[in-house]
Amino acid sequence: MKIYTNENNTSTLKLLIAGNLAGARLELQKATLEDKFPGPKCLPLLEVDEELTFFSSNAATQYLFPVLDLSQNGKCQQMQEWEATCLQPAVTTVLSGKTASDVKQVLQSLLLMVDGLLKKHKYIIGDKLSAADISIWSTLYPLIYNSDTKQAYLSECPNILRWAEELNTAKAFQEAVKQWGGNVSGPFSSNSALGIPQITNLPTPVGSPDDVPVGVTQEEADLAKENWLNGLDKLQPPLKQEKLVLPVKGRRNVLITSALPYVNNIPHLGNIIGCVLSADIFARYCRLCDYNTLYISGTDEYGTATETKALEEGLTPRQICDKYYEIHNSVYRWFNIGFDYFGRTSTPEQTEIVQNLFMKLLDNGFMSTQSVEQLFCEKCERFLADRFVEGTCPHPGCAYDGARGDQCDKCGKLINAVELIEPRCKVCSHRPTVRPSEQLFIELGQLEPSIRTWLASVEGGWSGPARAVSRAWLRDGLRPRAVTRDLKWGVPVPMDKYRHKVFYVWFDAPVGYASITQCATKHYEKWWKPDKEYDVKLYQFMAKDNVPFHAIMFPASAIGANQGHKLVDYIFATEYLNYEEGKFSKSRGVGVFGTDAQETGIPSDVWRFYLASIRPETSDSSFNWTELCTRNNSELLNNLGNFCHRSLSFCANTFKGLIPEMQLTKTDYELFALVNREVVGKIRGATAIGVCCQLVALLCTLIAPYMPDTSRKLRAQLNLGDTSFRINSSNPSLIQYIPIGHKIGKPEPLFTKIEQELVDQMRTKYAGTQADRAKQNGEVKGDKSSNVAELEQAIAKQGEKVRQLKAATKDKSVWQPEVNILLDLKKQLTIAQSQPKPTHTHDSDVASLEKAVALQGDKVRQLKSSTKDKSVWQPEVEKLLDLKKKLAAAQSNTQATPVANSTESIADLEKAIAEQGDKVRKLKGSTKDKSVWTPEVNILLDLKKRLAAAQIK
Amino acid sequence: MDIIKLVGKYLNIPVGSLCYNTDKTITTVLDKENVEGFASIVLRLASKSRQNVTQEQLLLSYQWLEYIAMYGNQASTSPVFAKNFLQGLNRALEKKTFLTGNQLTVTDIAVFYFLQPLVANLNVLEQESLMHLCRWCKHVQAQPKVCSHCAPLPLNTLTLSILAPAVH
Repeated sequence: MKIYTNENNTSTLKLLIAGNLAGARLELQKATLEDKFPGPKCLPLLEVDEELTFFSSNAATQYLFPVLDLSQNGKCQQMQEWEATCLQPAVTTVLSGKTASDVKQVLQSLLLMVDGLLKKHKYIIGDKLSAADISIWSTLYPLIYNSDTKQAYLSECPNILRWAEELNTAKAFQEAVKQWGGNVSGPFSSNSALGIPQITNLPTPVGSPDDVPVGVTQEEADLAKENWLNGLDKLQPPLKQEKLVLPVKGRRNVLITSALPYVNNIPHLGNIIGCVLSADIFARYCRLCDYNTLYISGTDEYGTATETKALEEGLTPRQICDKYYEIHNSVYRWFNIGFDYFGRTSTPEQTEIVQNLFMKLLDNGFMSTQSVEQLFCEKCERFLADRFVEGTCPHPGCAYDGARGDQCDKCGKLINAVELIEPRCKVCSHRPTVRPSEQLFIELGQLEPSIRTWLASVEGGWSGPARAVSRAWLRDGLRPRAVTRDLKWGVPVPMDKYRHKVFYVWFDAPVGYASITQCATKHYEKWWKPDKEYDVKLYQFMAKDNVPFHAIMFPASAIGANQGHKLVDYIFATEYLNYEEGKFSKSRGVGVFGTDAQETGIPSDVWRFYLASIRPETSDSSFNWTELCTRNNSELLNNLGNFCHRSLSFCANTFKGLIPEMQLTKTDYELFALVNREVVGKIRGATAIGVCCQLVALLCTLIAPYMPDTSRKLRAQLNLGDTSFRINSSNPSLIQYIPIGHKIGKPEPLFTKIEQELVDQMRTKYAGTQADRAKQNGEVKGDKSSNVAELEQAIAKQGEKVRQLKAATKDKSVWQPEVNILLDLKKQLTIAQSQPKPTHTHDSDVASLEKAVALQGDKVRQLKSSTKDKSVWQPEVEKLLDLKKKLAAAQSNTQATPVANSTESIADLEKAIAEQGDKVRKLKGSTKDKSVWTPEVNILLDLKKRLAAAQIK
Repeated sequence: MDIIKLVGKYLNIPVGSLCYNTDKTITTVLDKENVEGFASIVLRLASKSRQNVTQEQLLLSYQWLEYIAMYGNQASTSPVFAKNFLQGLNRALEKKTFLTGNQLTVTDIAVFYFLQPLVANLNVLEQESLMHLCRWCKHVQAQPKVCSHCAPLPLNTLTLSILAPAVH
């Protein structure tokens, strides 16, 4: 048996004493609390065998010396428990020196208690030595045998001293102390990584989790019955879907918008949940309630960012917009976002409405002009937007050369483009000059009072983040804001004087909703400038960074124009969604993007469910792969999927797929009442199945906004038309969705399980940034062709050389090796071309190149020894160098291949480095010609670099 | 105190009049004898239920009950402490089906009652990290009579559903 212990631990004494008394052989072994043992981090640890270990010294003591507690009926254990929970913590606290007076008092009273026991009996329990004696003696040992503490605590305990001394003279105890080798004056090491237990000890778990369930009231049960029996008839008349959705008199008309995603990138999951998905779920719910619903969105296309992107990709802004519009559209379609219309802002409708709004504002006197100093590029003949200028960062200590006109990427500080040192035009690199440019400003200050009044009347229904952001903006007061800028890609300003200017994107983007409505319905005024008799409510969804434009700037413009424009009624803004631990970022390409989600093979409904459930409503939330899969497997598959599938299967198998007649009793209605509570969850035989099927139908309706595909599948399994599934919004409750005797379809499982491997795979796949990922893919794809190209080039060169040599000399021994090389190279080329997998190509490349290098090296040596004519062997040397370079390149390519090889390649690399090192040393020793050994040194350095990289992996 | 009552209910044995003594140690009277301490009471109840346990199982039981008696209080009040506390149990359950080996004993039941609120407060990811402990909880709560007073804990993490598939 082994005892693992740390230094100077009194509990170890217990084990040693018990061991000596029982005559057991114990082996002491040093350990720390951080060592890996099965069980809690406690020491000493008694290891009997691999299966049986004791981390509790008291249990171990009893194990080693069991005879003593056979007839005591647990008395001994009770004393030991007292020792562990009361005495030991008190003694340890006192010995650690940090002693409060109350702990001393506690210890005093505990000791007096022990003294009382020992006054009555010879030992702790009766007249026989027991494990309790061993435990208590060991714990008290440092207290008794240190004169200071003995004086302080034990002067009133003569019985303890008598008992202790008696035990101390026993052979087993003396030997144990010797084996222990501890020091009574401390310091003592801790028994457990959890520290010293609290001195008053008792497990009283906080807060019982079981809330007392509130019973169903009679009213609720009656209402549930009423709804069950008559709910179907009381459903609102279904709404007839028109082709063009326009407001209808006497109905609720709901206009839903989600923030226009900016066109220059692929949307990521954060964008999707932030606006389009939230809005879509709401829109689907509204349609279930038979509200007249119009849900629109589109891409925001104007602005500098588009022009920059176009410059980057070498396309026109229009082409960029077309390209990314398609990407956006397909991503949203995959996510089943049910837009009534997904438009864009670069339309003639947009131009017309923006210009119209602007003219009204101008007429009403809310526009002013102001001259702004701006950079003008004479070569391009235009003013440069902030992002079109680069230069040296003006902030002291930074001086970064590639700072943009609005912000420095290195120090992160904001920059005024005019302040850039050495500014240059991003397009032509010409140095721009500072020129005043006249811009139009909207006088937000004048509109502030009306904004405040309006905001106070509506913000009650807004989400928390939306309210917070808009209040913060108003607190600082509003200042005039430029609505025009010197760009080409945008809505032109309809005034001759400002012909070359366009509207700032913040001004025209919110108008996009109206112009897209115009494209969708041809009568945008009916929604945006509704008659008073029509009940139209505007709901806008966005992430919180968009709130200022929707809550302040655009309403200000609309109020200023005074055309009865519809102002937003409800703003639902979200916080940000993080990716695992970091941030989603469109510009840096971090996270999972819409297109990635498609590639995972996980159904869009699962994505929708998970994203909706982690919607960052009041604080930022995180996307996590493990959670996604867990939620799918436990909630969707186990709960929802199983319930639906089993109910329907049972119905199909037992009742031939016909919904059975139900005999409902009071308890059933009570159940319905509970179900209804959940809308605003054992019954008998046929009724049970009937009810379950109805519940499936209700679930099918309720999940429709969140998981439209799944809902559709269920509908097919229930064999009911779309119109059957609706909600009475004024009194949402369970109704008889399925008529009795209805024949259901074929039940099938709804969800599939997502395995852990997939999770891990995804996590690795989508780590890093998009650019990194692209690079990785690119490298793998690119390698092969470049190798083939290199080889072809080499062959061409070598062929030329062979021809020259053959022409110059007839000595076969001179040109034969060259011919061999040529043949060899050709062989390599065929291999490289025939092998589809780049990894293999590398390997064979490296191997054959090494061979070629060796051959060529031999040849050079031969030539050098046979002739002194440099012109003969110089080309050969060059060739050798060339081959070596290729070899190095090929080797570094191999290095870029999958991580899996890295362990292997570390060993290889180390070997290669050793060899190369030797070679370099030899070369340096043999010649002073730097040109000879420099390439070798370079190879060596390269190898070392790769080794470092491999080791990091 | 609630835990002892639950254990008594589980074993169908009266637990006597529970109270705290001057040292704030839980105390009761069983068979006209004073029994003090959480571990001692549970062990006494177990012995009264006439379950056959070996000496080894008894000591292992004692060891775990002592662990709860020593650190349980702090674990219930501090989530950080609870994490380390639970890790200890988790490590021990890595290679064992139950706390005392391969047989369910009253100790498992008592410890489970104690842990129930702690485990209920764990989120999915924390549950994943305490997989063995959760697996054990799942086993214990699936035993008859254990969850008669409350709903079983929802333990549905991904790995768990593979290790211990849902009871169908």
